[in-house]
Amino acid sequence: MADKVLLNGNTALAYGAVAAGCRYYFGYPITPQNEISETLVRLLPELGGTFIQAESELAAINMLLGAAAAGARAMTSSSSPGISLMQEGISYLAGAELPALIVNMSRVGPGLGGIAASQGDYKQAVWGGGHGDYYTIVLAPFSVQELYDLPFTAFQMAEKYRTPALILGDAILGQMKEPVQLKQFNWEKQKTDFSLTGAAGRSPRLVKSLYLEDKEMEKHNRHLESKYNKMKEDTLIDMDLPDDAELLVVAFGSCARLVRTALDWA
Amino acid sequence: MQKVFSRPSSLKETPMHFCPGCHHGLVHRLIAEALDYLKVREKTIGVAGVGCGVFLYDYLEIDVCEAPHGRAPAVATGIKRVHPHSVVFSYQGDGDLAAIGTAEIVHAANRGEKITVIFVNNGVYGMTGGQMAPTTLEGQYTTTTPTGRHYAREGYPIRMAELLSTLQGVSFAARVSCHSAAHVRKARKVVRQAFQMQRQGPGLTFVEFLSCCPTNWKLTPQEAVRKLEKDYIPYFPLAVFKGPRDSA
Repeated sequence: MADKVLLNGNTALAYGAVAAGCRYYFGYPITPQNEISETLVRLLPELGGTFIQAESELAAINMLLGAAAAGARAMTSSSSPGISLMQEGISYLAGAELPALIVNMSRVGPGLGGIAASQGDYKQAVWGGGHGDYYTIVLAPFSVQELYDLPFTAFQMAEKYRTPALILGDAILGQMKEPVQLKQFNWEKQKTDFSLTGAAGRSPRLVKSLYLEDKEMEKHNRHLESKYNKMKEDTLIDMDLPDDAELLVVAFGSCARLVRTALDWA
Repeated sequence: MQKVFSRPSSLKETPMHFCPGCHHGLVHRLIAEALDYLKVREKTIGVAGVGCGVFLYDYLEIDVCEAPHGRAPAVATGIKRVHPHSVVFSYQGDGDLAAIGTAEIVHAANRGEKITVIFVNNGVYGMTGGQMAPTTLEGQYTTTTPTGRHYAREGYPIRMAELLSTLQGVSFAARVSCHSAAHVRKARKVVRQAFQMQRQGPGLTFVEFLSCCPTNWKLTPQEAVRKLEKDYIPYFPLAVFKGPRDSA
């Protein structure tokens, strides 16, 4: 096992994504997550991948949609106001059942808000975020090591359920430095029997989220609902629950670190 | 007897849903003919924009991805970067490409993405019931310009083929029409050229079609063709603005 290296959270996430087999990145600059793109722009071309700085978050999420439809393991990253702009595309990814990774290194809001850390995107993240009452997989890292590890988990889950996965970090996690073990992941090429590759020797494939017939739409939504219910089985939780506990404190992200320390002191 | 004319194999044998006198069906057919001619059907991926053209997949025998409104060039960018040896095109209307999607088309063009963009300009939002488009002409009645479009109030129709031809990332930009047999023959060459140049690179290739929308123009198909000749072509000239001019 390789020695640990000291990395900030954003950089660790970029390395983790590459270790998870991600080869396509589309993004638009926004603080406090720019080290993700500034790292991937150096890593991806060497691995035969693609990095595009898009003209907007709208373009970035739709490039991601195209790459996901084409069968690639692909991602984007942004921070709160940029993630708001991506909600249309995330809804389409959910409707069209495409696996993809979206990283939100969230900052304080609403509006332009500020660049300080916040967990103000919680509701947007866990309640779908865009139109159509869908859910996404949402993973909340707690440390720089988890920022390295979770892209692999996110891609595995996204591909298992064919739905977009979010990593909800924050400005503190993205910018703080911790020792990270650069693990190797045993990633397999994803199943691509739905991917658009050109209809050579097979009937044409279609990636869509439009269902104009009432019954078709209902059927599709029932299918999505059963998938979302199944996703709950994969919930990840780190729990210390003594038998004599009287109080249960639930927290995520950088806040969970404070909570853990407070509980240790209590 | 020698067979000289048949349905292109890239075109499904499905009756089209388009209104009488609409030109989408002809544009679909010209794309299918180009894919057949270049023998690239099996490596082609289409991207359907939002509008009357969204049902591309019902008529073309190819892989298709639906794009959110206006975002087809971004979706096509993602697909083409993953499969650089495939043939990728977007199919977009005037609201899709020249209003909500202007950023995506301009920047895909400016990056020189190796895709073909088929732009169907009928001067009106067809699918939503005839609202003003960015390409609606002065004085034209739509449901959102009930007294006719006034340039002082609503601005000017955008000439997308000319605009895109100024960008260095574009290798081919043309405007054609298919309202007569002669124009269909010219358009056939231009569409073929656009797909051929995508394969050779570099750069984005763009074909704008002027198209009738008799339903929302509130005209008969014959009257619509006359309007296209009298009003549309003078404002939107038919030409190859960039690329080999002998194709038209």
